[in-house]
Amino acid sequence: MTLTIEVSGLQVRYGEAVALHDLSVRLPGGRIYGLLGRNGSGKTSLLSTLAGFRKPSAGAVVIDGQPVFENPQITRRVCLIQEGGGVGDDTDTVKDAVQVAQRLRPGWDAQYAATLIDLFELPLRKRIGELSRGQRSAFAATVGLASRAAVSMFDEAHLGMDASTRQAFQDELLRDFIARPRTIIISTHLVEEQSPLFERVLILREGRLLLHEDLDELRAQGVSLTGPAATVDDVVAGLTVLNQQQLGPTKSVMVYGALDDARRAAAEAAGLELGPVAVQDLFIHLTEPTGAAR
Amino acid sequence: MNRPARRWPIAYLLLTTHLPFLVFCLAGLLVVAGLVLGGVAVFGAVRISALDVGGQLLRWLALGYGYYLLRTMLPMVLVHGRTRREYLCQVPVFQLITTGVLAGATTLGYAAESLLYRAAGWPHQLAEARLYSDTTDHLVIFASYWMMLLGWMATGSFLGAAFYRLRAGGVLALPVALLLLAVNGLSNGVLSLPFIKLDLLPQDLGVPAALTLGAASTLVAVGLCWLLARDMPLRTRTS
Repeated sequence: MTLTIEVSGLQVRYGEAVALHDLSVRLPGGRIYGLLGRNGSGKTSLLSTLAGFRKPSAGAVVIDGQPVFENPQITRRVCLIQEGGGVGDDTDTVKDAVQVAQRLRPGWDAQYAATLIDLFELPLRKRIGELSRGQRSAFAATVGLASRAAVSMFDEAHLGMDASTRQAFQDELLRDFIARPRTIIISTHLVEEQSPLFERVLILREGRLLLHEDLDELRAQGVSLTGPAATVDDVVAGLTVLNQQQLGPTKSVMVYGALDDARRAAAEAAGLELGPVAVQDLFIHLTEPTGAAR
Repeated sequence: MNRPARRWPIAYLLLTTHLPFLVFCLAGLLVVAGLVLGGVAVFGAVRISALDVGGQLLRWLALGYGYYLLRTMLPMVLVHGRTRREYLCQVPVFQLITTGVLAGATTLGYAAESLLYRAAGWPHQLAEARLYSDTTDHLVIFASYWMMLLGWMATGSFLGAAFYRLRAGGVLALPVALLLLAVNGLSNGVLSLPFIKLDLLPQDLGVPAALTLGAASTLVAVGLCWLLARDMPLRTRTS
């Protein structure tokens, strides 16, 4: 069963500082969402309120039609894994921490947890406090996946993992999602590496929801043009240039916004090479700080 | 999973994993007390109950463990999908049972010590003024230790919640905690805290009144802990 998340007028304050401003969004279940934003944009605050870790300062967070905060019917179907884990006491061994999770989490899949522990080569008898940063992250990811929560969220959960472990985590997450569809939200700064997982993308900027759309729609908002410098400059004149590089007479320019028919025809007629823009480049452009945040 | 584990998962988890650890700690304390007693018997004269001296260390164990319950265990339980309300309802049940078991084991220790002292011909006297007048006054010893351990553990939890929620501002809770512990001390006939002697309160209240005061201070500690922790935000590292 997949659960729909509805956030309306959400505000999160830390004393005088406002982390989230009047944020509203509806996330239908059964999808993988990418949550992107620069440091301090409010990603962790949003995920914390979705998981019931924090009470909203104002507004509402509702999952499956019910408020999340202090609602055991919902919190036991929600799992948020954050950087550093927090899934077990540092003095517990991995084996003990798994048993604690099994006894507290109603949907815990012990067999799957054992499979993941093998996959990530986690030492069962080692204390959590003695694990390397990457091992701790892998263990937290194990708990996040084996919890079998209808809403699973990973907040920079990959930090410290080496490239092969990150790839194994992504492959396993996708494989398990296909086998058991649910709502997954991944907050990450590894935009290019993890974007192939995303079906939809949410971008936060300075505590406000800047964008919520399909990844393909986001990709379509940018285009790269490569060819003779003068021709490229003519075609992109008046457009928002995200990035440009020149090597000798050849220039490559990334622009924000789809090309209209006239420009596209001109580019093709001039023999320019058209291509997609990396999601990360679009993200960097879209999240440029406003004057107030500088 | 059996019925108690389903209905009271947090209390059941703590009772089946943490209670044995605490009993193990108590056993360790008894062993140390026995070694000290042996040393005193060999090199000097045994005059007072070793358990009556060493048993007072239990309250510090209870205080520290109570702190750990809120400072470390509560956030972990929330990560595993449980709520603060579930935790704050089940933990006092666990504390009540656990401190009862520890108090019972300590009382058995007093009884065993009585037999040992009688066999060795040593005077089995109390270390200082207590609510119980004699080391064979087992019922009052049990009640006194139970109330002491329960109060100190609940106060530890209150401090754990205060320091987790308020960070350095948790120091504001220290005077309140000291007051609670001082009142609780009546249940054990001990009004003194390390470095602090409180002679302001009467020590000859009688057993029922002293235990009632101890219970009241425990309830206040539980209530204050509830107020601090019922909507306590989980600390998060923002990137």
